Amino acid sequence: MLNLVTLHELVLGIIVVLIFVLILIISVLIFSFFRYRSLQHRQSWATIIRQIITDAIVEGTEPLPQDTSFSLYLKIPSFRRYFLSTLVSAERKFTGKAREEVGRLFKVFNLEEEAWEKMRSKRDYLIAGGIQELTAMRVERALPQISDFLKHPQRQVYQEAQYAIVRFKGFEGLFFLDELQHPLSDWQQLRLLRSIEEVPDTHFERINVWLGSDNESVVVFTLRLIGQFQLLSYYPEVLTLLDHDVVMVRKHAVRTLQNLENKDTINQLLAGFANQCNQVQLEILKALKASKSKQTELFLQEQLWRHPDIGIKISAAEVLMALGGQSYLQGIVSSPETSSQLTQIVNHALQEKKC
Amino acid sequence: MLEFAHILYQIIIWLFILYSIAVFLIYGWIGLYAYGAVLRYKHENTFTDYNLIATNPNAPRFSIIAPAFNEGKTIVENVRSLLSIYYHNLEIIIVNDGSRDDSIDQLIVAYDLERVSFFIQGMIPTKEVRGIYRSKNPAFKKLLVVDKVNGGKADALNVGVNISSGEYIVCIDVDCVLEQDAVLKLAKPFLEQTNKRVIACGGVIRLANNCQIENGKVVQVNLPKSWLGRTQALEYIRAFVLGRMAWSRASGLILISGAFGAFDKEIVLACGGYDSKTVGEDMELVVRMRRYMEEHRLLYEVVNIPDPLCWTEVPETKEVLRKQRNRWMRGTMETLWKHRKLLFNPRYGRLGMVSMPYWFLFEFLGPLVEFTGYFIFLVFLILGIVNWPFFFALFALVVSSGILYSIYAVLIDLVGHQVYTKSKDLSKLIATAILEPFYFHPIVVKAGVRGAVDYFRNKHGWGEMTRQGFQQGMEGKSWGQQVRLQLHDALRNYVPMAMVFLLFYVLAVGVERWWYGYNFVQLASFPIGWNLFIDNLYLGFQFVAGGGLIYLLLSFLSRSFARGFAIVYFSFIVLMQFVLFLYFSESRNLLGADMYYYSAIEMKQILDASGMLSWTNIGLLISLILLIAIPLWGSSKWRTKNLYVGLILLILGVVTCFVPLKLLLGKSPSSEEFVENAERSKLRYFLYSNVSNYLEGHPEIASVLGQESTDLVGRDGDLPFLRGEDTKDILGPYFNQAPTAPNLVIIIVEGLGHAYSSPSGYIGCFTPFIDSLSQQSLYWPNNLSTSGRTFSVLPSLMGSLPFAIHGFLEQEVLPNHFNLFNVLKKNGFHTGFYYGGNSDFDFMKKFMAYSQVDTLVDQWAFASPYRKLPGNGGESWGYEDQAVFTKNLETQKVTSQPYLNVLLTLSTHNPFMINNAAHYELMFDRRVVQADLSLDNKKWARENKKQLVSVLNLDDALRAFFEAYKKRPDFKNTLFLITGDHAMPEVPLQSKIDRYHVPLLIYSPLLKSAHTFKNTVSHFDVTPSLLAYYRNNYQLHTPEQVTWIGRGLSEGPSNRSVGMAMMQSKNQLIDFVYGNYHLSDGHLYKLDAKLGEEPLSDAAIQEVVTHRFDAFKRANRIFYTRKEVIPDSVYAGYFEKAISKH
Repeated sequence: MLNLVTLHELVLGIIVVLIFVLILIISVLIFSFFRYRSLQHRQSWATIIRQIITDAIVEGTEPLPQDTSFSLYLKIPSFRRYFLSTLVSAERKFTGKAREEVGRLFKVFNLEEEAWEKMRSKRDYLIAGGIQELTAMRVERALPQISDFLKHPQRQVYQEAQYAIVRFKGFEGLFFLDELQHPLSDWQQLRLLRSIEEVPDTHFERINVWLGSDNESVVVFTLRLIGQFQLLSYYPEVLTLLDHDVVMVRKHAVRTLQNLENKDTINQLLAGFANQCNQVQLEILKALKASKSKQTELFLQEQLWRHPDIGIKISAAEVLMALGGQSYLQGIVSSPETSSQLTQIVNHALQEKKC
Repeated sequence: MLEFAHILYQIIIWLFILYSIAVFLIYGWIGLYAYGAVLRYKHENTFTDYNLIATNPNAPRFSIIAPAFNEGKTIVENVRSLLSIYYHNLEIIIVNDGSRDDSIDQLIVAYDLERVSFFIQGMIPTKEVRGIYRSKNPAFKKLLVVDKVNGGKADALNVGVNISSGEYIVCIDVDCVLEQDAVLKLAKPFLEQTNKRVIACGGVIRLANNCQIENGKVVQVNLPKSWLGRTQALEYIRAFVLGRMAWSRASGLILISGAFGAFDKEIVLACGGYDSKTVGEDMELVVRMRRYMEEHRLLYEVVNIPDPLCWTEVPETKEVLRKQRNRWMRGTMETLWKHRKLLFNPRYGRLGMVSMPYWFLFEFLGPLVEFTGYFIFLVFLILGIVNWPFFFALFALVVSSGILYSIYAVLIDLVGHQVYTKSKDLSKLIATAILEPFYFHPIVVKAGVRGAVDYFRNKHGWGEMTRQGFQQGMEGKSWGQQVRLQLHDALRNYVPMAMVFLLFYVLAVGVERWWYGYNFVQLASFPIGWNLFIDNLYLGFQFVAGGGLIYLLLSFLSRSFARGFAIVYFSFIVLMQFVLFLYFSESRNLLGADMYYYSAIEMKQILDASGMLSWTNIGLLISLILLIAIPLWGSSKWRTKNLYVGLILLILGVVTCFVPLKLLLGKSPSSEEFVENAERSKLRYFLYSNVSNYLEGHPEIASVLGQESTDLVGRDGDLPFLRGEDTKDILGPYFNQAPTAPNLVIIIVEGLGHAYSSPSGYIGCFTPFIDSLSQQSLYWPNNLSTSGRTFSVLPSLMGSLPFAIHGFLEQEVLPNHFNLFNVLKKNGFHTGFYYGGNSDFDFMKKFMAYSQVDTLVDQWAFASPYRKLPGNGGESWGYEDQAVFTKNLETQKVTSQPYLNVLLTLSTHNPFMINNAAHYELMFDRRVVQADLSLDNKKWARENKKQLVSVLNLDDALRAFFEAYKKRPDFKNTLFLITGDHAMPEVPLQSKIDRYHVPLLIYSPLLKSAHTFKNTVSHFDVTPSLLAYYRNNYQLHTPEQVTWIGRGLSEGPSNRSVGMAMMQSKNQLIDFVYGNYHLSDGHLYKLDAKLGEEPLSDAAIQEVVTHRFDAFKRANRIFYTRKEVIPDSVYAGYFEKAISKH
């Protein structure tokens, strides 16, 4: 290499790269300048759009279609896109009449086409954005096309499609769970659960299929769904999930059982306690705490004294405290035979002042 | 050497350029990749509704952990800010890390705290927890305050981790101002995880300096007022928006800022929490977490989100900034060192193959490389070798690239987050980007370098602490146990230095091999690497073991003294390795103890003329010393975990002393001496030469060691070289009788080897004039010089004198002897010596003074218009050959008195720089193309162009000299003898005898006919034959008893002679020719009719030749011991004068 390039050639090479870098600097500066201008525009647009939305919500009037300056703005594609995204954001913030007004603005200014155009794009984020906008503005006509995106390879797109379907169709929209291969993230589960307003009684088979799904995230989601809507009829199926292979499923099964609690629940949880791992045992103790069942006191005392895991001991002491076992716990503390560790654990539960 | 310096210069330049290209590419990639990451995040979160988890009781629990140390002034407000964070399932843990102010009291009062019993579940070891407080006010139920003994930030965080109940922990600096939705935004990546577990998540930190903060919230964003602050604002944008986003997208992020980051608590606990022994606990934890996940084969992610979530104050004074950067550098180094196993380890995937190498090469080495660049620039500046156009072009490129990156970061920030939206702020940021390389950057580079130095100092100032501990551990131990412990500890301390030495040493050997391949075409094709490597490695282990023993002994006196010794010792060895192989490369001679036989002035002249004593080389030498000594110094602070490596090194050193090296060495790929020498360890030769030289001078030690030299044997009273003069006149029959004794002009040509001065030489004839003259002369093509250097040519050629120990002229006082000068002068000759250089060199002047030479011309006698040879750095050996010849013509007047003039040339001496080089290079090129040279000849010639160009110059000067002489009336009555002092070692020697193989010719208009003699003769034979010629033909009176080593040109080193010894250098009497056999360093060779030689394995002949050689050495020793070559009476009788004895 030493002989391949002379110093003169090297200097020339460096100067060429230097010129390239200088051109890049100038380009970046120019681009930054235009970017700044665009931001400035957006700020002024934001003021105008806010005013339009406010007027529409407060006064419910026709929002100045004859306003010539606004009409001029509406001819700018980037303004229309910004207007649309602002409307979608506003739709989230309002309910009732105000939300309807926002939807009306969407129709009046014919912004639907912008969203359709986005959805027809090949870029993932634009498709996802289009789905979000059409969903927010409740353009039900888009449902068939949105459904097609359930099988889209990009996470962002199929998640938005899932959310959109459920927003439009509620529980019915969860049909995609039947064949769902991808895991549902907690975030997506929370979004979907929030979009479901009711669960009809006629879907026993479907929920059973989901509870038996190989996709553990579908099982967890279904358990959350059962818990959220108190679907008591699924209690036996949920109970069987205490033997599921996946810890997370078992934890959620305990939570769901606690939500569906009946007279047998405590005994059923206690019966399976010994066979569960620490994480599930802690979950069971939380359920016991919530149940406030006095019949568990002996069991809890046993765990406090005998269980090898400190976390379980602490939790058992806290449940005992919640069940009114303060005097029992104080008795433990005051006994000179109690080990210092147990004393500390019990004190922790008692939350006693030291000074 | 100059060539090597030039290449080294180029290598340095290229290393920096390649590093710069790598930096350019990596930051280019970061810029582009971060842009994609920022856009993707922005697009994915355009309509994100964080309310989904803000109030959701089923959302995961987060625990904010904020360590506080002496934050009394602001802690109440800071906690209030934290309490306003928007997230339902949140716990805020303030850890008062043993503050010496009233922090805890203020918190108790402000938040109505009470001490509670709390069982700490976490198992990470920490300093003692004094108490845990909760608020009695339900409004502050999220707050938990811990009071603990001071243990540092990492320890405080560990306490927080132990206490926390959240599934995720958010570690922050308590003085940070968090955005209210900070936890919401951090939580999202954790909730979005599916098949890959998100183990850590960081957000962008922005500068709170000069921002308007009300009720713990940033209400107005402003740029810091100071340039230092603004530059850090820019730096934070670059780091968080570009760097971390790119690495996050590439799954390579290993740093979540300690000021603000969220972690999966389960993994943190599994990894053992923060390391409280490091100052870079934030990075170290992430690396350890990632390492844990890799080792357990778990899928994971470390995520950074580009939202500005946290505001922090940055230092606005240089001093505080320096301390901060110093700490960062040390933290980086600690983490890299602690997890060095990961570096380039494919088992750790991207962590090992990308992230860690990036941090090592760019984040850690970056400031050091830059600082080294400044240093090298300074060295180049002092040496005056800075190429300014190149420098300015590169400098402008580096600076503008930095500016581009900064401005680009501002742009991306503008695209993504719009924190600084005022046009004034943007303009200031761009101005800051332009100023930063000149103002801020040098400060952080300096602080980084200082951090690196402090790392070694502290960590290994820790060495001092360990030593104290060690000494403490000595208490109560027996003497034997103390010694054992001391040795144990010292050996562990020695090993890292030994390993660094071996690394550099092997590297130097690698450079040596590469250099030979690069510099010598004929070596490139020979597989000499193995022998060179093994020979040197053997020696390297011996050095390590030898040095180790000295180190262990010295460590009893003082550990720091022992370390100092090891650093100097190892540095010197590596340095000598470089010096010796470069010397060999330049001179083609192995450097041995002969260097001691040159005076300081001579050494200076040699170095001056070779160009080695240049500022460039001195700079290189210093740089090399620093390059070696600094890592050695760094490693001197380390210890190995156990003794095994140390013991293995010592054992290897001992084993290599006993296992013969020959067992491992491969067969030499060539019998050429140059090739054989090239694959030898130059350092080993140097050492052995010195040892044998010392033993030679100290026979008493040699006898103790059982190495009594055979040449010490001799009989007192003998003058072994004294004999009656019986030399035959071989020359007379070939000359016409002149009316008076003919003049004699002897021309000794520096480095005139047979190989390139004869058509039968293996390189071909590059002396067309000498070649043509030899056809008209008495010519002895098989003539041998008596040494491999110039030092013995005068006594051998002019006096047929023995060598003494280091050369005849090396003797302090020259013993009385006969030589051509004093014998011819006695017979009425005018004598003269002409030399273009300093005649003090090799004691030539002393010889002339002894011989009472009438005219001595050396460099001091020349003046303008005579031209000196061009030199390296202005210094050269002296005047060019043309000047010497012309000076002789000018000085030697035409008289009736016969004369003897000896002319010694020097243009053909290393470094072979001549005036009018272009002309002779053209002549060389033409000769290579046109002359009847074989392909082999041409190949050899091209490889040795520089040397051969100087030979052509000499030949041309000689031609001009003869042409001028022909015009003089005394020409017709003059004998011209031309020979070489030795062959150039710089031209590869095909066989060992080639070093001495030089032409001998006698030309004169008196010559009846030309004749070529086939017998082997030597310089020892010249004086006897010349005097026999003058005695027989012109009745000159010559001594009847002589001490000539040679038997005359008719005999040479024939079986009738005592044989002929040759000194390779001033301390190497290892060559001997007897009859057709050549004994060289114990190996026997058979000489053919053209002085070619082949190895011969014949014990009987070897015994005879060895016996002869021993006899010669014995005689030489006796002469040297007696310091007398002929009896004073014989000498006085001849000169009829009193003898002054010294």
